[in-house]
Amino acid sequence: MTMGRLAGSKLLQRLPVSIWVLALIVVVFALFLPGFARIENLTNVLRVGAILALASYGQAIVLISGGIDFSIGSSVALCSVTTALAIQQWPLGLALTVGFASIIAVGAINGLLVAYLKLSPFLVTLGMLLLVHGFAAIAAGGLPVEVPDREGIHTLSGGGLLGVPYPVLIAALAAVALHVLFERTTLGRSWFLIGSSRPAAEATGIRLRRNIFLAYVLAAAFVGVAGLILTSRVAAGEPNLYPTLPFETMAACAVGGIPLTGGRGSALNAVIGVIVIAVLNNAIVLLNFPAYAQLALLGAIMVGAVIAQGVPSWTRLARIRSL
Amino acid sequence: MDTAGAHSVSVRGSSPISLRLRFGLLGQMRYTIGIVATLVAAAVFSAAFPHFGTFENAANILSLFGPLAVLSVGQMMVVLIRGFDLSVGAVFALATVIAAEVMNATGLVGLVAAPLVGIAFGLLNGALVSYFRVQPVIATLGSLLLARGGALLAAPNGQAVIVGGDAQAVLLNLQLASIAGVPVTAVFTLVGFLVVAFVLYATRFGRRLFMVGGDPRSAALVGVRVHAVTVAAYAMCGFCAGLTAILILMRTGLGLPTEGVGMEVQSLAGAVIGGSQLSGGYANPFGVFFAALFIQTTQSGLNFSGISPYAAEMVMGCSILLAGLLDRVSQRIFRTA
Repeated sequence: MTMGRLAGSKLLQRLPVSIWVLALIVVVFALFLPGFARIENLTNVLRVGAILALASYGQAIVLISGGIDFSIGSSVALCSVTTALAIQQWPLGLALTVGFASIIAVGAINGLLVAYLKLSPFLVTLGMLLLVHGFAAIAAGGLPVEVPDREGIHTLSGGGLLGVPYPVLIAALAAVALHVLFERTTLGRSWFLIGSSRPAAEATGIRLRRNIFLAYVLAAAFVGVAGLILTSRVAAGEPNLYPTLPFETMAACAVGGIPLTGGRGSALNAVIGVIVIAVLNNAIVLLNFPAYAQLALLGAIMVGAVIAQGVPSWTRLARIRSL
Repeated sequence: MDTAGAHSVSVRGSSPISLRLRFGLLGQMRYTIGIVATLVAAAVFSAAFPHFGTFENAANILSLFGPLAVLSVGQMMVVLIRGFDLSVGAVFALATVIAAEVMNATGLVGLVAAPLVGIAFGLLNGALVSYFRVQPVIATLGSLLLARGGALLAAPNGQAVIVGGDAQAVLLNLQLASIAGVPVTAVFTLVGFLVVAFVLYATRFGRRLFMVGGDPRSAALVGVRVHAVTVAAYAMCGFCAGLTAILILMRTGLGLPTEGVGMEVQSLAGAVIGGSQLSGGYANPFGVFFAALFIQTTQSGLNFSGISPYAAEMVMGCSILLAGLLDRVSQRIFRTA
């Protein structure tokens, strides 16, 4: 019995703190917010959250390896534009491949500049944010590109299997893939090492630059799937598709418990963070708050969650640790 | 091997050659990038467009570059102490809205609300970063969202707030006025820079900013209150965002809740092209002054060329990548342990 309790408490300790935050808000909303606990509403929360989830997996990879990515909002916009342009002349499958490849290309440029030229990821991805958005807007001619409806492009975002929408299914599978990548591959483990201490990682003899480069490319692969689902949902080439995406992914990671200092986190952290953000966004809609309040609330929650998770560090250790 | 390597780095960091690199003539070169870039951009655009190199256009560029310059110098203060502020664009938008509404209630005195809003957000950012140990990215991103949401909520239906009555007339007259051909707004900007330079180079607080930026632990050991200095630096950055709001109000007479998107990125580029380094410890207001002038000259030149505004956005993206490259190169040259 003691053993059982011990094992139980171990398991509880292994769970991220953020899961209690999630449990709390879900219970509160289920009790006090009419319409929240309905199955259609919850399915909708997950369907909307799936895109944010896939993009946040990408952000999580970059954050854990010690970087940051501001360019993902522009790269999903680029994906929608290139897909919409390609679909005018090529079959759907090829067009989606082109869209996916365009995001990988953005990730590869980020990776090259950060890993091989050792530029600050902060400035590189901010620069790419503007560069890629400008490029997408010029390619689209400044206006959204129409996509002919006959192509069956909606299937990816609108369809489902046994009542589970495809986006949710894909996001769940991707979460498993991310978990395996983080916990069971040498590459994934090396990101944690690089994120905690780059000199230490260099001293171990791992292929530092290649692994950082691959972090940005694999992150782009997750973002690419998000971009394809998003493109399928709007069925247009939209240069201003989702400008707040990088901020929402960072908020999701921060709330889920992946610190922006790198070296720590898990796939579960990212999933929980995304669901918290998705549930809160849904609650704002159900409460009929103005859309602008969503921004302000997102900011407050992000900072609040980070402070809450940092409480032990700034009460006990703050005076001992470095400034 | 590795410890020996680290040790030799620390020795090299304090060797006379390295010190000469940092503080000698060559070390000061980093702050002249903005001037050189401005001159090159001005020469290129003047050669390409006959009306670019005129006195009127120069005055026009000077009257336009104020907001970016003031934001950049504020950004420089926090970059100096190893931080950065992503909220400046949203904060000055909120400040224009609040100030416009207060002015409609109280008259011109309400303009004071703009710097107050800026300082309030600066204090919030500074407290979060120092006392609550939140990463600058998260803290200032949170303030960005908070300020942007607040600006849209404060403005009726998220629309621009028109400044009415005498206040509007005074603001617009100031905007149009000029001293010996130099726009009053440009004079304001220059005075702002002189004040910043005075604070940085002639006050104890300025020295402490450099100390904290150079090495916060050493600064703490010699008795500098690092947290307080950090809060003050962010507050000054917020104050600069408030001044930017005043410049925008003078230009437009409007409280603009959606203004300033992307300005945080441009101000960072201004700070880095102006010779600051993201790892802290470097600042020079005059380098930043010319860096902002360079960015504005480039944008005006691209407007002259009549190409798509999105191409101008791409050029801006490239200059930020260039700033990243400069940051990296200067870290290599001026590496200290």
